[in-house]
Amino acid sequence: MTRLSIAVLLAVVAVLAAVEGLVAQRGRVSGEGFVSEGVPRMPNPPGPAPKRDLSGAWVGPRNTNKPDPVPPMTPAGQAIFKTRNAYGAATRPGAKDGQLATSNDPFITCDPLGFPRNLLAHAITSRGGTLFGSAPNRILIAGEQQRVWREIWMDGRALPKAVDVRGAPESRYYGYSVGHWENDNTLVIDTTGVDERAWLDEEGHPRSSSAHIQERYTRGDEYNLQLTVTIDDPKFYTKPWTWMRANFYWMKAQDFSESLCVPSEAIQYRDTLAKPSGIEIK
Amino acid sequence: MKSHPLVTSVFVLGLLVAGGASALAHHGNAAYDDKITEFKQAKVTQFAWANPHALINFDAMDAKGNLVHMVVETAAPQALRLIGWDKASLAAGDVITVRMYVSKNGNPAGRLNKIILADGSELHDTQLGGDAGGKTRYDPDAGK
Repeated sequence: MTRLSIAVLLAVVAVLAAVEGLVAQRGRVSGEGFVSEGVPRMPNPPGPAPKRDLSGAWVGPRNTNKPDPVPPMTPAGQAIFKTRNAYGAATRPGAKDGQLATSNDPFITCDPLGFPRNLLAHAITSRGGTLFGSAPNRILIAGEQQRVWREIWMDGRALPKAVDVRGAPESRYYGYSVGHWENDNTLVIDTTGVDERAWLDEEGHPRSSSAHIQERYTRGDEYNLQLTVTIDDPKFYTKPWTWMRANFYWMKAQDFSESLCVPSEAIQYRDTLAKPSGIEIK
Repeated sequence: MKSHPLVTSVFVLGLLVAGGASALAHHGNAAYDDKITEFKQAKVTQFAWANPHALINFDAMDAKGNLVHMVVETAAPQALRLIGWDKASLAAGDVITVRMYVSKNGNPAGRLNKIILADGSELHDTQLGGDAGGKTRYDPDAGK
């Protein structure tokens, strides 16, 4: 490398550092006292995790998610993925000669996010939130975004072996879930029977109604909850993978805002702002 | 092919800055002009505290003196709350100054940079509004 190129590289690094510094200054609710933007750090060091108890409100995955890459899809998976155009692609110059693609993300008009896309908490909220509660024989998991809840049956019942066939239950946006405690700090949840109309992620990857989706929640201490989500979906993917690897943090205020996608508001946004601006969405 | 180091570095810089910006944004801004357009004496006709993005509708005069009915988007209410906005920040009838990035296709719509209220205080956008109006220590959970 020549001296000139080293000098240029150093200059670039300096400019980047300045840019990052500006971004940090704009962090507003980050830095000292915060674990991430908008998420205050608890004032005391965390105590030990209580046994078999996740109850309370958590914020996540924030910016902690470190998933594995999506594995190659099967021809059936590829065929569905080809029909989907992400919202991001409609607002950034893409591969199609810089033209904006037309997005058909179902969430544009507030169709359900479905499980597990709801875990990403991307579309509206800047930090995400999850509330664990309980009812007889089950754990309830409520999501801040869209105020949806899931029921995790803890009574030993079996998951449906199939859905949408004669004599079987119907597929559902949030599927069917059963759980068990693997040890005093780890809750394992198995889910299947999801409705294939919902997208797996913001990019529009598919997931089939026969997919087996496993969540492992490990409460490491009072304030930190690790979540690993694996997906085994041989109909659409060539191998299982870890779709989410993230940390949820104890919510100081324990009080969620109302974070809804309201169809009339979404339609007003689409028709009065996005489409006139040239953002191509259906 | 041996490329000039300056060309390579500038290209990398572009990629990294674009990546950083997209991490902050709910969506990209390819639809909007890079330049800021300012509307003084803009009269708010509707403030929609709404998802996925809050909208401000206003009437103002363009550079040629013609009345235009504009709509400008900013962030989602949850993100705006973190930098000091709330549902009562604006109301129909307010007279404000709007600085915004107008859509490239010429339609009366765009993305907010910032608003200057009649009393001189400012409301900034989250992604294109600069320094977030000095609300750097705002704590959404304070007092709870």
